Amino acid sequence: MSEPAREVQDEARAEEPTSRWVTVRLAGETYGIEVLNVQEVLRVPEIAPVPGAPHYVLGIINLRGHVVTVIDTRRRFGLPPAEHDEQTRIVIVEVDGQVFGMVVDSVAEVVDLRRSDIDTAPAVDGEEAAPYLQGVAHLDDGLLILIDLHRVLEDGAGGF
Amino acid sequence: MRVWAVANQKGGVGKTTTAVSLGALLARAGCRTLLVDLDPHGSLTAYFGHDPEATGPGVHTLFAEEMADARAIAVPVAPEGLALWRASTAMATLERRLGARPGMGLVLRRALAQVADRYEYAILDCPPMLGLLMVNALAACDLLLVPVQTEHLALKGLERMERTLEMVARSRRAPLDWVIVPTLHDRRTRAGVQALERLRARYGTRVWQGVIPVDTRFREASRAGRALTELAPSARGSRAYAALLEDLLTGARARPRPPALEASA
Amino acid sequence: MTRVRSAVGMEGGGGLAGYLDDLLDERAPREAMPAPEGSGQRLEALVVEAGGVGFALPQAAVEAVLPAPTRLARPPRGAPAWLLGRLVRGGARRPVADLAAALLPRGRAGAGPRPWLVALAGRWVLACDRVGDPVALGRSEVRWRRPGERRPWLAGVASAPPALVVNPTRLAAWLDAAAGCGTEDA
Ligand SMILES: Nc1ncnc2c1ncn2[C@@H]1O[C@H](COP(=O)(O)OP(=O)(O)OP(=O)(O)O)[C@@H](O)[C@H]1O
Ligand SMILES: [Mg+2]
Repeated sequence: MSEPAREVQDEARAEEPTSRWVTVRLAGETYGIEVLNVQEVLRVPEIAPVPGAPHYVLGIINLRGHVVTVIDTRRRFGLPPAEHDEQTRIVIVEVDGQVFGMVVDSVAEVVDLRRSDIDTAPAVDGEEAAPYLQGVAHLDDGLLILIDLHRVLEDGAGGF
Repeated sequence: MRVWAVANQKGGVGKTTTAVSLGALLARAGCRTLLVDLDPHGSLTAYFGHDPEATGPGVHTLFAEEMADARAIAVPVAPEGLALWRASTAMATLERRLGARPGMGLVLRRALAQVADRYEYAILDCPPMLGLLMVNALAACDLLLVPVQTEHLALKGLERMERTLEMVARSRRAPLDWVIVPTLHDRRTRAGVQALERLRARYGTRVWQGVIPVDTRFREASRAGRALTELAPSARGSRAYAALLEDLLTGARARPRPPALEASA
Repeated sequence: MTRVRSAVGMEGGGGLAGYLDDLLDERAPREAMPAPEGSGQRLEALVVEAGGVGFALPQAAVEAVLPAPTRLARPPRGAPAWLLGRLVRGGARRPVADLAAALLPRGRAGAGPRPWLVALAGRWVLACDRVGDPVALGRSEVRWRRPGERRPWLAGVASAPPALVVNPTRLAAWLDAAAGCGTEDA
């Protein structure tokens, strides 16, 4: 895929609006999380379970003194479970004023997409993850499935 | 944030047990509490299932890096509201590497200042020897708890500790408030009872009014990786630490018990 | 279990008072710890790549890793070219330095997009091309060097993996000085 990300400081060349995505791997597929929402990427620290939380909540972590809820993204998306390994990362995102962490199999790279790259009527309808997706983009080496973060926490996992 | 250190130059007197118990009780009471393991041996760290051989962030980081961010080294432990700064075996070399570099005794105090708004209490578990780490604890604390096992030779070791405290108080240019906590007390043995009597006779109001009894369930709790106060809140040992905490919080730690209470206890 | 008693062999007496006075000396500057000794000693570091060069950043000084946003707040007028702008993070505007352009000789850095940012504890954020896995650098794998005038931020050179080992405190001071004024949070 490696169409290189556009220069960070390049403000002059504003042609078509672009969005920037960090690509992550989940069960063999590549997903995109919009960088605008990403606060940081970290390795998996100790996760303290939270009794009574929704089934897709793995627990909480202490992020420099802040308690952050971490969700099992595979589980949320109806994907088969997997053990955490060296490549496993947590992507901390902020959406609608809520900060939470998403466990992903690995984090790959950063790509810029033009609006015309994104297909918002994706052919992923049959998938369980479909409710959490906002579109797909076709990259050189395959499909990039774009996550709709607003829906990931719907029905209130952060509400405790 | 209030900082309590738990120290005694004598080993195996219940320092770590005291830190764990008070920490868990404070967290249960809704106070955000930080436990700090200053013992290279890492018994407090291991208590909560962490490996002192591991190289993750912890107390060692504070000494190793000039810019260490004290806000980034805590790990959560149970119960909720309790956090831990881990020890690592690498800390054993600090003494040799840093020797007596001027100012190194203040590293912990400065680190705790960085997180003062995050916790209501910090409890520092010291190694059983005088050195850089214990000095750091003594410099950082508002109150020092000295667990003393009520046995025959307890008083001897305590004299040494007392001299150390006087000198630290002078060097840190602030008084150091300390309280003796009689631990591992066995009231069925003559030696235990006598030692407690002698302790009270010699140190008077410095000695906490209660005692922590011998309770075999502490070992069981330690094996389970949980505070006894969590595992069995009504165990004798748990109740004793709850009473200690209450007295520390209310400042009633050394007042003689009213006779009525004594009789009903 | 046996435990090794510490080497403070001066309990009681004047030696102890002097020892304590020194340790608790408020005016003493905070010095860097000497390089780790012995094979058991390891430096946990995050190796990042910028301009084709690896930089090992001590893990303890790394606050966060994040993808670079498409835009940063503009750098002040007259700032050096390697100052890419400012990142708003946790309410503060923190200066972002292109790690390669700031530290490597002219011509070596290349004009990469630097899609990853590493926020150091403190103020500075470093932009780089790739963030690798954390490594534990052993003493034998690093040639430690004394702080030099030209590259005060360089603490040593690691061989496996090949990387310049950065002293984060000195790096921050060096960037502060090289950026000149105007990078303060405003
Ligand atoms: N009140 C008690 N009753 C019974 N056993 C106890 C009691 N307090 C502590 N113990 C047990 O005694 C042992 C030593 O206790 P602990 O580790 O708390 O002492 P310490 O002073 O921290 O030791 P060290 O000096 O090695 O750090 C442990 O096995 C602990 O479970
Ligand atoms: Mg101990």
